[in-house]
Amino acid sequence: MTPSAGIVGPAWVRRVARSPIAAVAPAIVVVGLGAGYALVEGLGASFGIGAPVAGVPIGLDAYRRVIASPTFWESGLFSMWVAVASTVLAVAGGTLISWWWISRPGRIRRIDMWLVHLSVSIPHVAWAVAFVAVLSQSGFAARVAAVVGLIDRPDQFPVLIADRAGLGIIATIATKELAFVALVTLPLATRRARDAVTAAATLGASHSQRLRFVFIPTIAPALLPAAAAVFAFALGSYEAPALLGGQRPRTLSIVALEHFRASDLTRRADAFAVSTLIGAVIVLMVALLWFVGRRVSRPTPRAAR
Amino acid sequence: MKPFRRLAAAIVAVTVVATACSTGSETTAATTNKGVDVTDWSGVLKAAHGQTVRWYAYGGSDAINRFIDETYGPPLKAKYDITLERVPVADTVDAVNQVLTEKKANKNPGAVDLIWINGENFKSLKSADMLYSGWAQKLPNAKLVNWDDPAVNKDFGVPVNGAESPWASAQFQLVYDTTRTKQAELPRSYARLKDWACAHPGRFTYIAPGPGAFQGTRFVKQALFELSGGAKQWTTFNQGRWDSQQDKLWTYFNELKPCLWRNGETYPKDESELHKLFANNEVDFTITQAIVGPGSLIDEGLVPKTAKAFTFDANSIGDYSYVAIPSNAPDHAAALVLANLILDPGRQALQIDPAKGFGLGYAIDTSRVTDTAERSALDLAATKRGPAAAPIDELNRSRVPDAAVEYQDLVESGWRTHVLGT
Repeated sequence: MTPSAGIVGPAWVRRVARSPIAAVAPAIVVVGLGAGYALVEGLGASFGIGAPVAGVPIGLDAYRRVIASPTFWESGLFSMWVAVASTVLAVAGGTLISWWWISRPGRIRRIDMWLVHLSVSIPHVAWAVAFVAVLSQSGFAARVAAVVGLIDRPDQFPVLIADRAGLGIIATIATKELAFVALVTLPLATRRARDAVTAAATLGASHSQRLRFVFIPTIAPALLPAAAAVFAFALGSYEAPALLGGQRPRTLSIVALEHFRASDLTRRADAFAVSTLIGAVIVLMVALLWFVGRRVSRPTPRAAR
Repeated sequence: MKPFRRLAAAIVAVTVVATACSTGSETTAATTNKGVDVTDWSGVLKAAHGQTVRWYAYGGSDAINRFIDETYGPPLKAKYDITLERVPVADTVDAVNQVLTEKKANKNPGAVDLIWINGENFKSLKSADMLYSGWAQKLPNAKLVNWDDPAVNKDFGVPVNGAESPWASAQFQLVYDTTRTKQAELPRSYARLKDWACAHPGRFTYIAPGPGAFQGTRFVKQALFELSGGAKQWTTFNQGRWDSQQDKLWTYFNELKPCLWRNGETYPKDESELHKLFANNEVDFTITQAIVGPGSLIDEGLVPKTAKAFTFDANSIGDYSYVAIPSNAPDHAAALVLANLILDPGRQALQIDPAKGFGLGYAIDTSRVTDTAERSALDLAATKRGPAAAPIDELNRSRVPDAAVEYQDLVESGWRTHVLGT
């Protein structure tokens, strides 16, 4: 490559300016200032720093209280289940959409793209409210089912909202995020991917073999970060659990906010401790996916520079 | 374990340093008072001239929002040249957290002049020392309030100390649909309610007690009153009494549980969810705190037109809601003027009119109103609470004060452990 036009200065400046880090630096700075400040403040608050009332000791008291509470573990397991299930479903659904796009002859239709963009741009809270309106026992689906005679009364409709398994929450997050996954894989689901799939078909590979051995490895570099993003979102998400969750079990995000709104101000650190622990699990999970991603989609050895 | 401890200590230390710079001094915000002297009312009016009062109030009801704008906005502007800016919040605790965050950031003046508040939110701000206090009994209209009544001078058992001024009274009532349930069949006690619920499985539920769902907590506390033989003993805190009585409470609710909507596996989390179940004919009762009953809910289309309020024969918790001024309020004087206007007999008479959309009761003691025209307007308004209201003698007969604030957390966490968790 010739030295980039327009960038002058010593070699290291040109190198930095051309590096991918430079490209994402503005975003990192903006997000980093906001989120970074919030993280430091939140971490501080979890240690009892800056508590709204006097006499709150600084230390790990909040973590001790939170970890000793059985509700925390119940909610933690439930959150984990919701996040993992939503991620698996969203990734599977997104992959299938992407696969369907390239398996069809012709270009990706504009209407498909429009639908995916629409789904991505709908706010989560609106999506969750729509699910409540459709899936609750007094919702649209129950009434239609009762009218057409599938069930006798609307309240015989299966319990999908405020259920103990969190099915409503999972359905909401998964359906919302599968469009996101499909969109992220799009740059890799290109003609080259289609050519590879076609070639595999010519060589006698079955549908499932083409999907499993050709298509998924092709889009895997996009799939894993997408999965990490969906997981991170799902584990910390508040809207869907608040609108579609029941009283028990509750996700950690609900528990954290409840601590934050409790009237006993000496216990406010608990809210930040729960949030910090959610964040820690997300960091661990993303690190794990990154590690897996490096092993799975390790690129072929590069040619000598 | 040792390396973990060291790491944890290091993280704590680093964060202490990092936040120390941003947190600053934590107590200074609470002490300022702008030098407005409530006893010099003409001075207050002068200072308030041209100010804006930012009133943070629960904004979930269109009817109440409209009532606030129309009842207080025009007279504030015309008489005192004060602009009313109503700031709707989804839950009063959001306003509380706004003030607490301002305290942490040492922001003075803050953003909040007045908050519609009571109970645990009042307790929070008071314990954080973020309320301007000692003013409420010195307002010109404070003479109309019966400050000797413990239901007024204590809020959830917490002494008010002039840090909030009453706005309206409320009382816990149940709401039924006259086309579904006959008046004679209404359960009028917790004992009878259990019989009714088990005779009509799945047709009753209540709001899950918890922070932000005081109505649910209140429903459980009232059961405690009935099961323990009266409300009065609970107005002061006594751990021993709680320890000896709580089992009865959990036994009652666990016996009720299998008869509830969805077998008591889940519960509505707030009033609007319960209204929805009631309106959808999934359950036969909802609740209201309004003295006019479900009148404004009917007007908003949230419950059927045939809905009507009733109370049990006893142990129906009645209380007051108030307005409070944060100690870092930017326009103290205007907030004082509004708090005083709220107690004006003319404004009080409007708030009980079901057509105005608020529907809560008087904060003032009408017998203290000396102007005969005002007095008769108040008395007349009290008789016109609309067809959805519970009879006034029923309300008066059953009214009891709320339990001491310490029981709040015990009831909420106990219910989660002993009723929801089983």
